[in-house]
Amino acid sequence: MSGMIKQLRVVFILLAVLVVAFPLTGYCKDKILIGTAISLSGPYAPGAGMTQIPNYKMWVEEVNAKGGIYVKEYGKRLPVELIIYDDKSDIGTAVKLVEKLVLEDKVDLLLPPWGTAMHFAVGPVANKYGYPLIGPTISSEKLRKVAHKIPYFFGILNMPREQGAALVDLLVEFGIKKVALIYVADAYGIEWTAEVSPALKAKGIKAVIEQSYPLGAKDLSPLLKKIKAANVDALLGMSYPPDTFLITAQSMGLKLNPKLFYLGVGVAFPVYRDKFGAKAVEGVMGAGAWNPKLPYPGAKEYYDRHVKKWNKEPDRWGSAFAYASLQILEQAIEKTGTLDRKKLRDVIATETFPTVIGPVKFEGGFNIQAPGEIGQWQNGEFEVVAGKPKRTAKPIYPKPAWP
Amino acid sequence: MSSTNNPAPKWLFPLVLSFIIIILAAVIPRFLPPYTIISLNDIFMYIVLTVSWAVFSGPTRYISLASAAFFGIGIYVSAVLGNVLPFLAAIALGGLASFLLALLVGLSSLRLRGMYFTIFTFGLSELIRHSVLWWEVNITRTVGRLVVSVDNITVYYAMLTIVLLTLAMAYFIKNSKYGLALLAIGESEEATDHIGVNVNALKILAFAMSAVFMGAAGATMATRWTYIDPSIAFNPLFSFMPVLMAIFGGVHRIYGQIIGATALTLLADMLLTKFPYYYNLLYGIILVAVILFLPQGLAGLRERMSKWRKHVLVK
Repeated sequence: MSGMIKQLRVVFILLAVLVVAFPLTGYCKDKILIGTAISLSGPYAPGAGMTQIPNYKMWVEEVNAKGGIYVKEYGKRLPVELIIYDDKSDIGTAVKLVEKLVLEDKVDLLLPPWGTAMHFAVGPVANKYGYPLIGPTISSEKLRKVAHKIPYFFGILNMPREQGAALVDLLVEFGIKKVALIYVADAYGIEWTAEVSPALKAKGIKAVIEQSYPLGAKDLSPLLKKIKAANVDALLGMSYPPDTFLITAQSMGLKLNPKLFYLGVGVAFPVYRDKFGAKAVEGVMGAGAWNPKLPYPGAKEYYDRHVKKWNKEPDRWGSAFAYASLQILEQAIEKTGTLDRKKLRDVIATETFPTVIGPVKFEGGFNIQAPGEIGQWQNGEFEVVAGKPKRTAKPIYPKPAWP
Repeated sequence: MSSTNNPAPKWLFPLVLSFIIIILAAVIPRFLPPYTIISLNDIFMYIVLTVSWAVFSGPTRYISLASAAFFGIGIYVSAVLGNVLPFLAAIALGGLASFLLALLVGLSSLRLRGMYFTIFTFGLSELIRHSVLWWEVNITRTVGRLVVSVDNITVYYAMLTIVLLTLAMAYFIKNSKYGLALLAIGESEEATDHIGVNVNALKILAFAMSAVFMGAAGATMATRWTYIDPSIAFNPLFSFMPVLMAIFGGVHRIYGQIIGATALTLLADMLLTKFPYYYNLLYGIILVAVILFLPQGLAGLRERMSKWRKHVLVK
């Protein structure tokens, strides 16, 4: 008996060695292998789990329900298989796993990780191996400095330059003269402030308070009390999700009621509305924006499918961008009829792609189409209020006081 | 430094063995798939951190949690100077900067003992992280930095060299009178002082020596990551992993430390890619199991086996 088990064990080990040594890549192409290293654990995991992973999985399911993506050079539809690795929210791990996907798993295409820092790390790696990457969660002016060095990388999300300008235009429209500008001491807050602060000055708007606070701050009430005492027309907070929630809760407690209340990342999350209640967040503005009312083909359908599949609404900013980046990839494959990554990159770099965020076109690696820059909660929907031509509703000003 | 009155075979074996390993490691990149080289780079990084950590903390029993500070300083040297200096110079400067920092820290902290020393070193890493962050936010007005990227083979040879130098340092300190003195400090610091050993000078020097190669490794690895910010560079994980790896493999044997670093890195890789959703759980269970059942680490396994064998034979 034990002899048989021993023999079986030997056979098993031999099989394992064979499988490891000769992965069955095969020359008969029967699927499109797509890989991503993204945060399943660590501080980036909530963002990744909201904005990207549900869209990745949903898209793969949808594509495979159609029988796959039609690739002309193989003369048939190829189903998509997705490999997801956990980068632990750690840059070293992310870089290494992306190289594993490329060199060992030999994926056909890569999907991006979550967050600005991760994109900066993974973008150059993908570029080195010639993999096009369309990054839906990087918003950084610094990217412009390196964009020419990484031609395979595309930034699809709104960048601080356009969004900051739209925000200042909104202030001008309301005739606001006195603001408080606070920002998280991380890349996002610093870059936004670098855009917004001079723009305010140019328009004659005075920032009576301009101050940073540390990432991961647990109590911002002293700063908010100071802002209340300064009696400003607008509070502009260039914040990350945890501080967005913190500032909102503490402003309610302190009855800090400026006429315009703007915060950064996190306002566009449905959970923001659900946590405080649609009534409480009425009139709050945030970085974004996207909503299913936008007149782009497929936008409403995408929203409905997302709600049906995940039993939760997509966030009103990055989610749609993440989904749009997948649509672009799919269209690029169908247009070129190949999985040749050089050809795919060239098509992505030059053509226009209809998506749920509108007709996307990249210029110098940056998407020039945006469904809107700033959003505002009105009656439980995140309405686009800036840039002006894309408005889905008239902005509410002044913002109603906290209940 | 090896004394001449040692019987020859004692140093001959490790010498020959390390010679073979060096030759193998030097020619290996030609024959290996590229991803294996990337994996080796990671293993090298952890070997450097673990063995360096153990050079000081192993014999003296001063548990340092400052590895992340030394490693991170190297990373920052590479990020700031990487585009004006050649790669090798950046690595050397990374090591030097860590050495100087460790000297400074040593001077101010090594009179602390036990838990106080550990907490102090941990606080130090955090202090440096926040100071760098403050500097970046308020002075340079940006947080992340892009690092000049270097190809994997070059990184491999650089890391290999650093590993070999680290091992050589660890070996020579361990087998010298200084190593004995450090061990004595761990047994009883007062007694060692009374024998006439300059306890403070020795501790500070050993501490600073252990930081050199951490800094050099940081400067090298930063080129693989291409983007860093203070929380990436001074990630507390780089303080805890060396301690864990040393305990996992066996603190008091250099080969134990190497096994610990290698095994844990490979284990993490395997779990992360095969079981991404249960990674943390499995990793934790294995760590707890090894520490519970093998308090001497994997290196203690051999001693346990031989003891057990004797036991059985006697019966």
